[in-house]
Parts: sequence; C-alpha cells; structure tokens
Amino acid sequence: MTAKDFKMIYDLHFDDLRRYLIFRSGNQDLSGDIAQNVFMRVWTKKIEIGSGNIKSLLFKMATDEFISHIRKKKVEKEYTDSIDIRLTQEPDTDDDLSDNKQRFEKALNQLPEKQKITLMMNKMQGLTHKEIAEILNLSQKAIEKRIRLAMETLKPNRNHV
Amino acid sequence: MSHKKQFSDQEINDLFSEVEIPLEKDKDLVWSEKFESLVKEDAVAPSKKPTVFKLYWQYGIAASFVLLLASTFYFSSQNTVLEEANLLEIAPDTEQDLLADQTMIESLFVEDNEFDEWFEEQYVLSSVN
Repeated sequence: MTAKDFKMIYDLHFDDLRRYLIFRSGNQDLSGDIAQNVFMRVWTKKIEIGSGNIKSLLFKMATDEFISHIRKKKVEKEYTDSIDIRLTQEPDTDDDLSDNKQRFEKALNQLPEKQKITLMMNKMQGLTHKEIAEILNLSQKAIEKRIRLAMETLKPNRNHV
Repeated sequence: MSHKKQFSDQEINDLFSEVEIPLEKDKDLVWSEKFESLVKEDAVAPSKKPTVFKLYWQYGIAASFVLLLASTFYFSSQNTVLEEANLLEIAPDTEQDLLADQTMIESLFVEDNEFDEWFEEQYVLSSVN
C-alpha cells in the first residue's frame, strides 16, 4: 500500500469510524484514540486491503479494539449503552417537521441497544447486513432480524380514540 | 381522535441522514499530527534497504549443516584409511617380536649382579643370529 492509497482510505473512512465509535462509547477522546490506532496498525503492519472490504475491515478492527478496551478497563457498565441520538434542528423549520424529528429521536433512543447499534451501522454507516454480521461476529440472519424489528418499532401506527 | 403519522421507509432514511454526531477534532489536523511524519519516514526508509540481493538465511543454515555432515563423513572415511595403513605398518615381524618378548621375560629372572654377564651373552647371541 502506498502513502497515497493510505491517505485516500484515511480521508474516506476516518470520520465515519470515529462517529461509529462515538456512538458506541459516547467518548470523543477514546473514539479518536481507537480510530487512530486502527489506521496506525493498517499502515505499520502493511495490512493489504482488498478493494471491496476496506470499510468492514476498519470497522471490525475498531469494534474489536473497543471491546478489548472495555474488558481491560472493566468499565462495561459505562459503555453498555450507546449515546442518545440527536437530529440536527434547524431554526424556523416547519412545526410538523420538527415534531417528526423529535418523535423519531425518541423512538430511536428507546430501541433496544443491540437493535439501535445494528440499525445505525446499516443506515448511518452504509454497511451491508453481511458486513455488519462480520464486524459483530453474528450471523447475517441475526442482523436482518434486528434491523427488521427495529424498523417495525420505528413505524408505529397508533390510533387514539 | 388523534392519529400519529407512520414513518415510511423513505422518511426513516431521510431522518437518518440528519443524525448528528459531532466530531471535536478535524481529521486533517489529526493527520498532520499523527500520520504525516510516520508515512513520510516509511516512504524514505525503504530506499535504503538493499533490493539487489536477498539473503535467505534459512538456506544458509541448511547448507552449513549439509557441509558439516559431508566433511564429517569425509574425514571419518579418511581416518579409516589411515588406521588401516597404520595397522599394516605396525604389523609385527612376528619372530623378532617373540624373541624380544622372550628376552624381556628371561631378564626378569636374572639376578642383578649377574645381569651384565647375561646381557652380554644375549648381545652376542643376537649378533650371531
């Protein structure tokens, strides 16, 4: 891997990786450190990355390091729950739109942790079910089930009389 | 009666695009602080390494071992040849050796004061023979 290729991969994926880690840990510094360590290892160990699996490999390495960090520090309680999700709120927006966003935020944050993480990886990071399964060491069916359940929860149809 | 709107798949996808997870540090700043010098160092270093000849140390060790075995075997066979030659050289002239042995044994039974006379007799006998 040349320096130019490495820089290109860095530019494409570094921020996404950090956002994923911030979502998982709620800690900016930790996320930055883990993301840097991942890219440092890719460069120093000359890990050859195929054209099709760059992102999932980076996410897998980051996830493994994050879990390893939790085990070492024994602060599992602190990192069990991911951060609450916030949507950008622009001023002077339509009240209905704002109301929608708030409902969506609330529904997302009330999802079970595993469903929330899986859904975020799929919707925000653009990872496929197969890639998420590899990163989280689960079967593809398990991932599909989590996403399906999460989507069903997000699409309530409650009628109040 | 109030009706809560159902989120469609498209709405969900659109709303996800507005999820905000702010980053404190700019990635270009992180690059310049952590990676730029590292990548530059590694880019320079490889040019100092020799590329013409590659040492395969494993083959060197194997070749040394074979050489050692071969030389051991060769010198071992040489020693065998020499030993056989020595055996031939030191093969006794049996009669003379037996005579020498006999004389030596006889000398053990000669008294000290008679030894010189006995010795002269043996010298004369051996000269005559």
